[in-house]
Amino acid sequence: MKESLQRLDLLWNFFQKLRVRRFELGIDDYMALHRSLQAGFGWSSRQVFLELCISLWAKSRSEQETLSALFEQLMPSEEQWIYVIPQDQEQQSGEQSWTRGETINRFNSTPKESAENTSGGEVSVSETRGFLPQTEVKSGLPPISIQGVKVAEQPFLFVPQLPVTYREVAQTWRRLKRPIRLGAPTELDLAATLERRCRLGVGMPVVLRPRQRNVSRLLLLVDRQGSMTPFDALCTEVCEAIQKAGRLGETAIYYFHNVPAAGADDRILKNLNGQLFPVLDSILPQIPPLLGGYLYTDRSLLEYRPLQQVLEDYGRDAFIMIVSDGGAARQSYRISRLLDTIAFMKGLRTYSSNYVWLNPLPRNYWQNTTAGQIARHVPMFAMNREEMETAVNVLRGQQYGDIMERPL
Amino acid sequence: MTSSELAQKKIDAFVRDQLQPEAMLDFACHAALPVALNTELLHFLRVNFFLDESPALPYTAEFELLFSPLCREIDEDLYEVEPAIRDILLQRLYAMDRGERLQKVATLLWQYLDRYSSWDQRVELARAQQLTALNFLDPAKAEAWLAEVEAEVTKGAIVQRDWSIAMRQEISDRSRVGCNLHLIHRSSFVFYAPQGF
Repeated sequence: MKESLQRLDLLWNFFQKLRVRRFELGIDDYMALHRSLQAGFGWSSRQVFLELCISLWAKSRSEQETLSALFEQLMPSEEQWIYVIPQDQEQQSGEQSWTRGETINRFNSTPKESAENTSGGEVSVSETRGFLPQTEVKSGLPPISIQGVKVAEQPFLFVPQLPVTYREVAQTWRRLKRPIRLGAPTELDLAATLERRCRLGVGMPVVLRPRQRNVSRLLLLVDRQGSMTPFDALCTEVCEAIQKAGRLGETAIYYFHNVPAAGADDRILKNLNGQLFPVLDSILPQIPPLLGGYLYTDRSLLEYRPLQQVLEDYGRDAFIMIVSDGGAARQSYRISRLLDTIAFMKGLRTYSSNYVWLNPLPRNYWQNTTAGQIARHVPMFAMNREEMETAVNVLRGQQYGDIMERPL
Repeated sequence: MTSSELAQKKIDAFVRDQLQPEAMLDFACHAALPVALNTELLHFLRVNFFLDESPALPYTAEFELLFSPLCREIDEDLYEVEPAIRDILLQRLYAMDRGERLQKVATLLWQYLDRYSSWDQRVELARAQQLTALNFLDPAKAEAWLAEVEAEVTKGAIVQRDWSIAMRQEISDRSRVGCNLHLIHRSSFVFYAPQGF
């Protein structure tokens, strides 16, 4: 009984750790593993059990890597995962078979216990399979070897754990569609076929129509470097998922630093009468559109193109998504940045009114920053699944007046 | 005010602003081990040591630490913890379990450098990180390696003279970790209730 509880505890702990890492697993998935074990799968070795877990619970390469690393951390070592050949079965079949009870016993021992059973919780690096190999020489400095150094045996997880997964982003953005029937008629039009049959009363060839295609175009404008550096992995994951798995008709991505357009005429700010934390509400109608700036085609911000040219090529009637922290990361409030941003958004509106802003920081970080003010005028959403769903809804045409205090 | 007192004040100020003060301070202690940090390494430190805690540290903890007064940006996507602050944080990391966690962080650093680091083209930085990790795992071996490099520098066979002097200082500073436990223990940190409590 105690062993059974320990085994369940270990499995449950493993399962919960996967859920913490945003695996989309429910109790059905947990029970699926139990049923598979009851049916006799996954008992023969540690590797086979790992493969069973991967086949049931991992749905992408990154999830597979995460699951494998956690498995290494939590499960007993291969040496502990031994099997015995029951004499009666051996005699019957002449082949080896695994004893489930024995495996459970081994499976019950925790990594700590297993570590204690080996060399006092430590393992010589030289004994592990290429665990910490020697580095290669690349300069005048000689290589450093860790050969023979005793270190704690703990496999670490080197797979990024982001607040949204690739799959969540792809699923969310696949809802963004602009369906148009294009191309040769290849799809059965059932309603038209029936209608014609009923109208004419005689058998006629079926009516075909072109297939629906998603012709939606999305322009991604992504803030890079500076305060965005800590969010690079998250923004890259989100943009890649949208581009590669969002099933949009066409996507284009350009980069900028802080603001896409700079140099709005700040003389207009004199009308704010030197307020300590000025807001733009009173001068909003007077801010002229601004399109003088450059966007970059590469992530290093080296190859640039005029902003207006990019908008001419990709912006007309497209969906536009801006990715930036809007000054929230540094908790700063700069009126010049706010003015440039609002002027740019006005310029953007001359190309498309379908735009949203994704902020990698949660909403509570926007308060008292430039981002908080921008969010009063522009539909801005945090980069999590729930808010991205709303962002897609806004792009699909949902009214968003209640999202903003003072829309442009 | 000495640099150590100033460092302690900065740490106290950092802790005071946090919603999860103790966890964030522990996170900062882990981040203090490498000679320099990038966002990826910091992320892996959180993922491996703070994701299964209750409550877990959210991903925003990473930028909060990087943009705090404890860290300064020294290059694109490269940050360092100030030496005086680092000393205090490492003492605390050691005090958690008499160096066991410190060794784990050093092992993670070594594995990261070995498998995932993007510092292949910056050999001096990579070696500095490796030497730091080795110094916590096997100080004698680290000392022997550095002595060998210094001998080669004297002979003129290796040109990184400034590097070897800086690393000698680093090894010397870090060797004090664990020796000054009377100066630092967990109760010396003042934890403030999160805002709104």
